[in-house]
Amino acid sequence: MEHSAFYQITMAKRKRAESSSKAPLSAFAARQLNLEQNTTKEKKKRGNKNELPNEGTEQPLETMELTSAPLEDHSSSKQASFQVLVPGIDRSGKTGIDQPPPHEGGVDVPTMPSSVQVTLNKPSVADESSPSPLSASPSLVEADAESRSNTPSSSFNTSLQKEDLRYPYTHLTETNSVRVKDALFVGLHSGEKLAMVGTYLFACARGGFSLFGASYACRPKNERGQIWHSLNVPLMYPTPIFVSENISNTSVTFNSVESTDSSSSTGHPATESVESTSISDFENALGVNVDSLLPSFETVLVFKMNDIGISKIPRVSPFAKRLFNMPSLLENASSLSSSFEIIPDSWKTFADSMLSTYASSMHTPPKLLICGPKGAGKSTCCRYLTNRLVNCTDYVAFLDIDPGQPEVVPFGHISLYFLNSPLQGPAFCRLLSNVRSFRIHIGESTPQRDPTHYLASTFRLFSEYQKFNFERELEGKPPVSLIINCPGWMKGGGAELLFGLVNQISPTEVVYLSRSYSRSNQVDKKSIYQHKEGIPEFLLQATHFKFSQLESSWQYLPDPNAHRISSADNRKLGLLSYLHFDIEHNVWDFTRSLAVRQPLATSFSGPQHGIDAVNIIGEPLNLMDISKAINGTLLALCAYEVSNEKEWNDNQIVETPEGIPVLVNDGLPLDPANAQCFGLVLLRSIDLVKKEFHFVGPINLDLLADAYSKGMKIVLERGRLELPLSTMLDRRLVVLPELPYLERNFASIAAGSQRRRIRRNIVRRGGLTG
Amino acid sequence: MDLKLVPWRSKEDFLFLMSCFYNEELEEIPDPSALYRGIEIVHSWSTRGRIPHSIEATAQLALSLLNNDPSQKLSLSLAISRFVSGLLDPIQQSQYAVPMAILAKSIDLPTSFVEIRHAITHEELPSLPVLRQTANRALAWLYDHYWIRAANASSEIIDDTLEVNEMHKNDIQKRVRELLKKWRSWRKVNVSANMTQSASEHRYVREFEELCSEIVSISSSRLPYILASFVSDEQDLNFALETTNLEIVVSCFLERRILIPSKITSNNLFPKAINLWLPLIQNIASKHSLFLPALQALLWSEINEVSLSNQNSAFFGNENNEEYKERNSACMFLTNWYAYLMKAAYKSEPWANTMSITQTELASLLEVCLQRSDPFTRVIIDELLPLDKELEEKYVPLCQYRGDAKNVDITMEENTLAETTVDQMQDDLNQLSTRLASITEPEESKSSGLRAFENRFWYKPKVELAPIGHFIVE
Repeated sequence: MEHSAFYQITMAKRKRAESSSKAPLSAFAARQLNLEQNTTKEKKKRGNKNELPNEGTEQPLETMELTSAPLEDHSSSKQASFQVLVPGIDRSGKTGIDQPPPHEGGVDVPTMPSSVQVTLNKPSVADESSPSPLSASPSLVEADAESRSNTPSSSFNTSLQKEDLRYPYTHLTETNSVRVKDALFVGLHSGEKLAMVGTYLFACARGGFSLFGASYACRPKNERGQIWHSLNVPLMYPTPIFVSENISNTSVTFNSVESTDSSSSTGHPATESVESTSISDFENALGVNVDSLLPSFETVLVFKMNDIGISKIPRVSPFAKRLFNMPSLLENASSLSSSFEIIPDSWKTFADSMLSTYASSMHTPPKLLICGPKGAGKSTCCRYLTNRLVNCTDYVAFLDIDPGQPEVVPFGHISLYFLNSPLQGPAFCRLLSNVRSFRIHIGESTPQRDPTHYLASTFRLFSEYQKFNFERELEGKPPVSLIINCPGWMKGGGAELLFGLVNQISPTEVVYLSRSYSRSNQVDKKSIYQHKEGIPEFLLQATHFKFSQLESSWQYLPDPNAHRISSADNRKLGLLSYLHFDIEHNVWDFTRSLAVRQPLATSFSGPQHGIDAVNIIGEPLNLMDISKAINGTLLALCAYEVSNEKEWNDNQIVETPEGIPVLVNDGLPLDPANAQCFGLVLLRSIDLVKKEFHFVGPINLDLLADAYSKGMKIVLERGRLELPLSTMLDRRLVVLPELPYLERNFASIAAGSQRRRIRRNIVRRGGLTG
Repeated sequence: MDLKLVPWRSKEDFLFLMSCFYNEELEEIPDPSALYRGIEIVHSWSTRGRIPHSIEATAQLALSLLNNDPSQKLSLSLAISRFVSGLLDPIQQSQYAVPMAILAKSIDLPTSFVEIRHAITHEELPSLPVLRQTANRALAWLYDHYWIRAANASSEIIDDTLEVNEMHKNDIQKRVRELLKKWRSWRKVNVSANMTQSASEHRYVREFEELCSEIVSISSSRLPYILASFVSDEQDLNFALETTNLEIVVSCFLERRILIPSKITSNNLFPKAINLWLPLIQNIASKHSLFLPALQALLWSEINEVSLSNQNSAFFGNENNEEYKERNSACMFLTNWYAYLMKAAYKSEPWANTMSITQTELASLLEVCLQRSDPFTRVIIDELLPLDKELEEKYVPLCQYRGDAKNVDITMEENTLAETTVDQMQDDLNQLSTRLASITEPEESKSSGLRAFENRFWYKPKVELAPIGHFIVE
């Protein structure tokens, strides 16, 4: 009884989800089809294997009756295993597998070979244009074809057919997927593609596959290490695609120089907090032998739902409501997602040639600078190239100098990371807390306000990269390659800045991504093109680096503008995700507002003070105003090397009436040559009695401990980063008549009460002047 | 209603800044020191984020008027030009540029400002006296069109929020009580009417449906001060209690003459009360998934409160107090309701499926009740313990240790007490104290989360609900 109620609810939920998505093949229809397959199976069990072609015409009534029995069986085990709902998967078939293996005798495993036969009967489908090659019954093939022609993305599908990018991706059916307890096994034939949305863990149980450039291979069964990889895939962002591939083929691209090294690095040392296990541990936990599952597939992936809180982000940001609007946190994306991560051919070719050059000379690693106008997909391209590089080396240095849209949240920084694992999924839902990195606080989302400081900061980061390589050289390791993600400021001062960057860093390759690239004008129409997009002249006259132009991946989206989240919203998501991250438990907590989070406190005065000074970028302020100016703002926690302790104490620090130490710095940022940033914090409150600051936000106290031990000063730096309104609020507080720094909206009453806003898209009509 | 972020901490700060730039009579220019102070404050505000244009313009105009060196002409020109553009740019809404003179009219800005701005940017700079005069006129314009309005607007709105909230609560309570009263009198007449018949068949069923729907829609609408931007989470009970009328509505149910009869003579009234109210509760529960959980939670908090206060007052022995008796009999009735709902939920009755109770939840409730000594928790134990065989076995032996059971057992304890020697007692005491010491120490350091390095000290203070940007002053 209980179970059937639960079942009805989930069905209702599923229906709701379908009515919102435009997929014509409703999950109900898919279910019916699967039920039919199931009956096929049932019949086959009875030994009647030759009836196959007639199966599709079975009466639905009968199939319903058939499934009702296993469903009731299943209810008894409700307590023991929880359900993962996946469209297109028939749960009735799993009851057999849910049972512990000792009894596996004749129940389900023997049916496997028969399903194999079914797939083998249609081997040609996989290589033809039909998108779902795994279908067991003819009717399913039809249904899939139908769904494909009606899906919203069919428009781009046609345009991409030449490129062999098929859509939709593999549907989960009875024959290609199996669920054991909370784990979902999906089998893929070579070259098949699968897209899943939600927040989940994935692992490779057999064969290998690639995910946005990164290759994952199955490890030997008893080898311990990280086998699970965490992936959070919201809707509205392009969904990453698992592509089954023969790993031995792809690894040909990099030669044997690092073959021993590469095999260990494909396992990706723990960056996410997933305990180190091995496949055999996992098998023991589930009580199955992975080899016996889905035997006909070259590649088998395992998925586990992994709710780490990010799906609750709409609680603090209403516009994010659509991001995780899915029936469960592990769903096949083909009917839910509107866009997928597409890798343009030119990127592949570029990466292949780059890797082959690299492979031939490991001691001169590529230094790649990626630039282009706003919205050209620089970050996406950087991510792809990084993932490709991570496959064949232990570390890739990623110099992220776009303070507006960094790959590691939040914004307002530029940073250098030493990555040993691929970058997957949108930045705001990525866990990268353990990555070795070096950050410098910019305090703005653009380098425009202070280009001098910005350039000095990038050079500091670059010197950290050189230092890292030098250390490696001492250890006898080859230097690591560098990928530089530039900001999208390409006009005027931006071009000058880029010139400075290129001269200082001297990259081996510069990639220019353009928004309006198309294959036809790639070669011959360069001059017109160049005029339109304004590629800085010096790039075209490159002598000491290789210059290439690549296409943007945006143009492959069905409607490039419809599904894009604005960069402001992206920044907001990143900041919210950052501030709500619980660094102790490695999960996101969006259920409690920042006003009730556990703060961390330290005093700013007295012998045990944790904060040495406050530095406010802008102009020198009256000391009386400082406590009110910084309270309730985002501040960067920075470590600052001081050469002369006495000079610092006597001349550089003044105190506010409250006793807050303030750095006398003429409104300048900390000198990037001596400073680094540990992350942003929100100064929640100032205790004037105990002379303490109370912070919320993820503070890594180990970094602070290290800085203290090196005698560095801890400085709070205030840039111009603003908090979104929702972070200031808690529903329990709004009852209060007055809240600090908040006011009821009465903008319409007083003139000029808005903040200054600049519109750049106003058209001037001829003859009219302002 | 909505809020916005502002750079000033409070209205007071805003008014203080206003007083720096403008004298009350507006007749003479304020003291230069006041003006400089105002400019400093604007500087500090601007580090928090973008500030309203009118404030920035006021500060820039005031600063350039104070400036007496040869560059004054330029600084005045810049301040005036920025004043005009900053006002007019945001209202430039159409795709094509609307002439500034027309825009200026729409916000009551004299067009002479636009002309002077044009002269400043494109023509010869106006003379110093003209610029000075224009700047002063601009400041006066800002006073009339921004400062005075902003100052009044904010104060008006702030005064009455609490009042509005209180009024809203009263309105809702009044309406819900009315509806409940209507139901009660109606139900008393038609005691045996079957409410589960289809709505079209009987007029009274339709009316009943309407009544329930109104209660449901009242309980799911939001409190007036909750911002539209809060996203609702249908599953979260606390969220619903704090942002919607649910709590007000449910608390109406707990009043006298609703779930509690007006005169309680005996507990025999309870079956009658069930007959009276259950159809209503069931129907609302089927329409509002959080109604039953909220009712359950509020019932428990009520019982818990009375139970705790009983525990305390037991020492004072004021049990003959009339009010006290009254309260206890009411609470006993609520306890009956609570036990009834819990039973229904634990047995998974179809109408109670919005309220699911696991074995562990039941166990933790029973554990709390076991530690009390009042009659209400006793009833809960007696009623709920038989629900689960496993828990019954586990907890029945513990029941004798309840405060109200102690009187019976005390003789037995005395017997054992007599047999222990002083030495044994001393040993036990020592053991206990060493154990206590070993328990408290790690816990304390863990809870406060102290971290000290190189003589620097970070710790986790107590978690309190405090607004962001709060100053702790005591």
